[in-house]
Amino acid sequence: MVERFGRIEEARGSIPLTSTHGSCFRHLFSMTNQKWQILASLMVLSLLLVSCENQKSNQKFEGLEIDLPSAMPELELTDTNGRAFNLRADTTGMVRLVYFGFTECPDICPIHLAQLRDVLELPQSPKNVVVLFITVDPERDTPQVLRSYLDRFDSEFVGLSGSKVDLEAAQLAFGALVAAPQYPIEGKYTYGHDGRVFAFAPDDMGYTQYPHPTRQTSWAHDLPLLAQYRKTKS
Amino acid sequence: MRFWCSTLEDPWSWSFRAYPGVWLATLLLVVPYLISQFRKQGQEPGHKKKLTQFLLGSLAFWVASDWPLGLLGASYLAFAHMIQFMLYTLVAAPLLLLGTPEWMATRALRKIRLHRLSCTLSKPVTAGLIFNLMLVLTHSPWAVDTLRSNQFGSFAMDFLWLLCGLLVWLPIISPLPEHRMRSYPGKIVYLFLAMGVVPAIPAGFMTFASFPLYAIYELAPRVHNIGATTDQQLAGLIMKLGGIPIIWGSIVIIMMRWSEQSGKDEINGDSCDPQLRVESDQ
Repeated sequence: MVERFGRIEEARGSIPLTSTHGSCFRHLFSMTNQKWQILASLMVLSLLLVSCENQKSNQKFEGLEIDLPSAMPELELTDTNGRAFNLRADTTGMVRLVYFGFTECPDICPIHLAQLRDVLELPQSPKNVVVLFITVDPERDTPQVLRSYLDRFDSEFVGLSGSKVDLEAAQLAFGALVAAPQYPIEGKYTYGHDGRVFAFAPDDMGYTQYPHPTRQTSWAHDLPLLAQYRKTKS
Repeated sequence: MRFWCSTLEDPWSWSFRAYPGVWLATLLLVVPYLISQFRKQGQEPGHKKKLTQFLLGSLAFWVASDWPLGLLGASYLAFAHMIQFMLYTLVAAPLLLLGTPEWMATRALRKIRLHRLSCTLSKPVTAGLIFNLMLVLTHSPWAVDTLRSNQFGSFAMDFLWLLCGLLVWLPIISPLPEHRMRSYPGKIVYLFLAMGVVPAIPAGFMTFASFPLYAIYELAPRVHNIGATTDQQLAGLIMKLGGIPIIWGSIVIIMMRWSEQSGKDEINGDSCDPQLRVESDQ
């Protein structure tokens, strides 16, 4: 009993251990000392890992969570049918995924749209999700071009355009980097634009953003969560 | 300049891209073989057939490694990656073995002092286990996403596929008789188990997964608007069904040879029928 108590106290560092059981136990004590050190290190490591895991699980969304969610801007643009489209009022009760891109975009835009198409087709995806694709290249992205492009992914995706001033104002309102034309490549110009998808829940608040790359598993995890945020009747 | 096909951020284009590392590897495969064959020309029956088989195997290796298939498989499409795997393990590897004469294989193995190791590795259980372990590991999401993202990793994966492809065929068609299994039913069972059973597991994951497994293909610029999920399902189907013609074709050939051998044994008086034995004795 004394030996066991002594080991515990040594591990706590409170008393130095002295053996009263003869030299044959000194070797045992030195091994025991090492074993306790290893055990203590493992316990500290486990605690660190658990606390890291807790931090991760404190994050609700897999997308970039916004610290101070803000309301979706109330803007009016033109859809591919030439009609006025109010971004907030015309999508009431839905999860809105707002994305600024252009049809000549070679990489990020088609990847985002293809990912969203695949995720929204899954049976577990909420049905009240709308993708709002706002062009940053109104000169080339006429309503017909925009519609034809979006139909390659999903005919339910909403294409929006407007004047250059309105589109710039929209990007600023959402906090996106304003798209700027890049140097011509082989006679064609391209745009550098913000690659994030801005997500707004049915309660009109923006809780998350999704940069490129965002995997389908992240979308599938977050969309049902976003769909749960509904406006409370006041 | 890139030497071996690996992941690119650029959108896919049908413009030619040069990968001199692939050309060098193909030349390293073909040139020493041709020089050896040239020195021995006419001294061995069937050397033309073997030459053709070896060159076809080298061609399969080159097609699997070079643009466009190599780049599509390394960077854009999971089903292209699967076609590469099939070409390395089911086309290039067996053709290279069939095209290698016994004297060349013996000389090469003795020169690099791997003859004894090759005898150990060519045992059916060992060869089958190593091949299937390699198959599962190199198709894990971690391996694909990590190795394909850089040239060296991509080269290592392709080389491993070819090496394990050669290994798994050794018990069946090795140029060295000491590697080959003697029993026909044993060969059939080995082919079925080693190359027909385990590939169905990762194939099943790919075909029935709800989400893409490999980030590299999921997040790649789309090629002709093929979705990531569709691409992965195609890859799973190719893995499951693509080997059937070659594996079952090989099994049929083995069964035919077994039947021929049984026929020869009967003529030579090894028949159990006493009447036939009496006739053959006469």
